[in-house]
Amino acid sequence: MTKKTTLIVDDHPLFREGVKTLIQHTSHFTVIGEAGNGKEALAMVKALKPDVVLLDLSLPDQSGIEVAREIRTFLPDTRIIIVSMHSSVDLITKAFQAGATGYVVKESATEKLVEALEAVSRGEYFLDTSLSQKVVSKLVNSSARASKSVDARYESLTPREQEVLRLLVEGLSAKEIGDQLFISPKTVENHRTNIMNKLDIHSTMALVRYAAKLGLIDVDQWKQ
Amino acid sequence: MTEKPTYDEPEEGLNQLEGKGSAGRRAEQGATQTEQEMKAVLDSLLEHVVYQDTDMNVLWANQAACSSVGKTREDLIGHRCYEVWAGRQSTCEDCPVAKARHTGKPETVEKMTPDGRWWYIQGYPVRDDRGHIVGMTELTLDITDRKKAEVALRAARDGLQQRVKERTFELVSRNEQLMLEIKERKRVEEALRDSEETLKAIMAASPVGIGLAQDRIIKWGNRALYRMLGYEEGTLEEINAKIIYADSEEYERVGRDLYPVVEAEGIGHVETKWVAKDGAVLDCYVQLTALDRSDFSKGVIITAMDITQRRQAEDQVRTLSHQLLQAQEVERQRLAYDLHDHLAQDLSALKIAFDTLSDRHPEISTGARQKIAELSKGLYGVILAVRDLAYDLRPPGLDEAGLVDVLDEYCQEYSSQNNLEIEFLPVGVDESKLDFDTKITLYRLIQEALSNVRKHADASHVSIRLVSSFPNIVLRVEDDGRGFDVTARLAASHYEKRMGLLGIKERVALLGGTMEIQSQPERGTKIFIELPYGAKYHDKEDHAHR
Repeated sequence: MTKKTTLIVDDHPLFREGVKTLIQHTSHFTVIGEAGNGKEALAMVKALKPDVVLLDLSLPDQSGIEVAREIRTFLPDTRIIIVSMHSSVDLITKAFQAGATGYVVKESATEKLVEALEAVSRGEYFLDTSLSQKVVSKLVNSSARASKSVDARYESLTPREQEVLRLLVEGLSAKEIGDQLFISPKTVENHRTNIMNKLDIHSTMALVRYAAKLGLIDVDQWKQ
Repeated sequence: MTEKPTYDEPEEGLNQLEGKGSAGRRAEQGATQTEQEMKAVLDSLLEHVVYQDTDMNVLWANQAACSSVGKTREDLIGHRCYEVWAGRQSTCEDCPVAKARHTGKPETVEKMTPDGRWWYIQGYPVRDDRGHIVGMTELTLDITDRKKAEVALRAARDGLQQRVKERTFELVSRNEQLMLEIKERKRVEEALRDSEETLKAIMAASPVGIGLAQDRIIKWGNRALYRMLGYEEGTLEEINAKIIYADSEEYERVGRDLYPVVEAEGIGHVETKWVAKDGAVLDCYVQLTALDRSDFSKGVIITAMDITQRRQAEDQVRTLSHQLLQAQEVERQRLAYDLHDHLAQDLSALKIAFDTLSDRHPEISTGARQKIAELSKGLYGVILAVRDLAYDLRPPGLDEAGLVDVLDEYCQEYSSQNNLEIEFLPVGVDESKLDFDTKITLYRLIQEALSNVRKHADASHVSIRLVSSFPNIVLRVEDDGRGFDVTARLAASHYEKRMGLLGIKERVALLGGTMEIQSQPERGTKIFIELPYGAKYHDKEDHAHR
């Protein structure tokens, strides 16, 4: 059985050496090249066509995300594992979006890298277990937030409507709002109608409760 | 004459005398006509006429004398006068008749009888051809009325004199008092002049502009006021204050905002923009004091300070603070980058080198391998610590990823690390409208607010709401902890190494935002922050009106 070829892209020689040692001791993988920056990496990927690229996100010349994206364009079958110091969900997401199928944080490379190599070679995704918890809870949270219809409705308000709503729930009359925003009371009334329609709220009291829930006003303070 | 004569009689008597003027009748009477006429004349007199001998015996008395004692002439003749009129046994001490007899000259006396009447009594010696005194004539006139009039007159005169005296005294003392008053007034005037001079000198020397205005017409101004505005001294008198305001809108705003306060409170101040003669706009602190609180129409005292330079200095300080904060953020990012992308990288490289050391060197003993594994584990801890440090310095992904995502992640981590329920509710936050400055500030504010909650509040639940409210962004952090005394905490915040509440407040102010903290013991804490979107605060005009 032929060994899967790997390319190590990292600007840190000591780290590359460590990874190389790690891989050379496996039975299924071999290191066919090392690159210290993005430009070198792309040239070597083109020339060597490795099965797997171990790619750092922080490279001296460009970001690993860009490099990954580019590799995908001319070698779509090449697996990319990000080996990075970064652990933010945002970067992880971006890395996967750019075409990486594995993500390992550097400090656990010793323990996780071989596992990751094997997983991506099988065509699976691999995410460092120390990260997966974070990613999942983030997913759960943002989907929970997105499902709250109050947000979407509020976001549909124009800046002017936001202004009018704020002043309305602070207890100002249409005339006072008009004076403050240099518009006619009639225009204020129109805005009010639009706001109520957009938010699907049809009384001033309900509007106040809604604004308090959002944090626009403090109801306790308003009561005083 | 037998009939009792009345006071009307003499005239009749005289007429009779005239009627009886013929020589035949005179002859009939047996007495000389002259004697009869004389007697009639004497009887007609009001004065008592008594003729007596040298021994005071009455020889004859006229009708008035007889009537005065209610007796006939015959009754009186032969009686001593003092017996008849005074009821005495001897001559009256002051008798002018007795005196006249003695001196041989007419004598007079005024005396009062016990009945309260006054008499003018004259005594005349009556001499014979040889000059010997043969008798005495006593002429007595009732002068009671005259006397009374005299007394009254005297009393009146005395009263008058007394009044004149009193009045004179009064006038004198008044005069003295007046002199004293004049003297005092002169002294006061001098003192006043002195103090006025002093006051004028003080006002002239004052670096503060002082003036007087009535109905917004400038009545007077000190040197500093004129110097401040660049006008020649005195040239603004009787001129409407409008001329010294940057524009009529500002003039009216001051009138609208400040004057009612001064009228109600007696004093008020405002920061406004004045304009000097050469057109230079001045930032001024103006205080107005009612000249007379009970009568506002009397005008107001103006004190004004040119705070343009102070303003500029404040602006500079603000700009500097802002730049300092920005520099701090940049420095933090650089540090974070160095820690994360260099130090942590190096440490990770070291770790993997340790981990693979035994692979490359099979000769290493089992004991040494174990030691190396331990070192690697230690290194792992160090890497995590360095990374946390870096993240703390710079929230990862704030520039590329959104603030909401970063905050979401931060809240989750903070929540699990500190056993605190954190509810993060962002609504309508349009990331594309937030500049990095605002993002990092909001992040820091939340970081600090949560740190405060963890350290002081003993809360179990925190809600963080971030809402776009054009043209501002609203941040509300509320906890259910034990609350605190806001003033005391703000004061203590001075001594904290970390940003603290005061730091939050300053950061908010630098971005032109506002912050409110509400906290009561046992009732949790609410922090309310409102920041303008983006770079709005750079607009100086906007800032000046804040």
